[in-house]
Amino acid sequence: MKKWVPEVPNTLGEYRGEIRLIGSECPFCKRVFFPAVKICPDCLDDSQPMKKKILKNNGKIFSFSIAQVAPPGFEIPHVQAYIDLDEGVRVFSLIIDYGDPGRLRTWLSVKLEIVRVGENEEGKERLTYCFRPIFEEN
Amino acid sequence: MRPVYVLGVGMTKFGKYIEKSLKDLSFEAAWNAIHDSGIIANEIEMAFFANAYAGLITGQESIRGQTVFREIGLMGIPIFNIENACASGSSAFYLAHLAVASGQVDIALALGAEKLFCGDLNKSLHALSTSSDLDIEGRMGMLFAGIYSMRVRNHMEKYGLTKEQLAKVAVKNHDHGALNPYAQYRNRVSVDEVLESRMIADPITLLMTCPMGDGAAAVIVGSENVLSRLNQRAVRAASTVLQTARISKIGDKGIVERTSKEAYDKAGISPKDVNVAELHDAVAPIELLLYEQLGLCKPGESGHWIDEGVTWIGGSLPANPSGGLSSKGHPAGATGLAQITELVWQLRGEAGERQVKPIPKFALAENGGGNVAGETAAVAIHILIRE
Repeated sequence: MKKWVPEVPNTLGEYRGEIRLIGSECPFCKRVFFPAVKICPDCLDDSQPMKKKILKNNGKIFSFSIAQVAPPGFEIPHVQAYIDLDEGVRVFSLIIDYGDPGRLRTWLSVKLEIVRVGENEEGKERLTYCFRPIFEEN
Repeated sequence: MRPVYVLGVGMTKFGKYIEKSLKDLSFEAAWNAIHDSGIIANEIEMAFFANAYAGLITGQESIRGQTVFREIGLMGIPIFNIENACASGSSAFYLAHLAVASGQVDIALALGAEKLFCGDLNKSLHALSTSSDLDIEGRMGMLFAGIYSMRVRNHMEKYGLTKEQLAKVAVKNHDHGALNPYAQYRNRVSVDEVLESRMIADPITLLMTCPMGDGAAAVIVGSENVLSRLNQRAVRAASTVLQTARISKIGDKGIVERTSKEAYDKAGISPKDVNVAELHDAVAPIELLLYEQLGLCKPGESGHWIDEGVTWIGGSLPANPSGGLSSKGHPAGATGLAQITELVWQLRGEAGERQVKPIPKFALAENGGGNVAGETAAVAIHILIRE
């Protein structure tokens, strides 16, 4: 039995001992989706199932927002971002471990970080996906 | 489909109404529209009630419209409850238009109302947060101000919009709102005041955001037969278009571009024909992006537009003469119908101190609501033409 559950349903899975983002790929047009969709909205063909797609852990910041307000349970500043994953999928997520927020830039490279957000009523860890910027050292 | 005309419009002043209920506000707007149209109330054959959050604010989740129309006095006719987040009002207008255009009825009423002030700010904020996909973006902590700030940031980087240009939109809309007796905020603000107000989500400051508000607006539409017997100036709803978010690919055209193209095509006009517009400035700087997405100006040109005064009253294409969401206020269910109300007043030459001159002929309303899969969940665009 898994000891964890994804905070956002159907987004995470274990692959070679690592927790990874799991999307889906259209068997016809090969378009990749994250979060996974049950049917490709471009092809709308249910004659073959969507394929499971394990995504790479890397992407770039398309845009980000440093908010001084946050929904209940989230830290301030609340750094939301759209991340363009290497597979060409744009994902809404949060940026963590950024240090000085003044260093954040669009198109910075980021790496997936699996973050524990709490426990569910069965005592399983609730895990979510965030991204950590990779600053190039001068 | 047959032509559809706006017969009557009405609204309440937007604001904070501790002592008034959703029913009180709805009553006032509906009867204002009935009186404005000159029809007899029992000629209304179908009604649509737009509201986004009352289910969470008061607990009246179901049959909201029927409870409101009980107060208004209109019962028996088909009444439908319409919810599309902040685009609920324009969605109700879309359906009222369809009911008449199809020939199903001769007169239909679209009423939108919202009451967000309830004495419990957390309850109101929670209600507003439900306009996203709670299973996905909601669990990632999505904040609407953050979504807007990301869109603005990309545009600033691509085209060099300045913070002063962002602030000028808030200044303009407050200038316009100061002239509008229906506006929630009637104070003017300066560029410095806007930029120095509390940071919400960089570069969006507090004075660039729209206030929470209570209010209602109503629009009555009817067929040519009805119009011809009323002593009413003819404003035709030349196109009413609504589209829903897609799971877009990177680089795809956005929902506002897609929806506006359909709206211009259906109305048989081009963006250059538009004389006045009411736009969904949930945060003021988004208005600049909308000028471009609607094709009113070229990509990257919106900063110059605000600098040169194009969209101020007195400019060549006034935007949000009502004060927009930023100053007039944003009681979600009412907003789309308040946009139509303002534009009808403008087209009839009844807008008082904020009247656009010469009296416009072509008007455009853009109303958006919610967020799903990275796009605004529903966008409605209406084009009104004075005949």
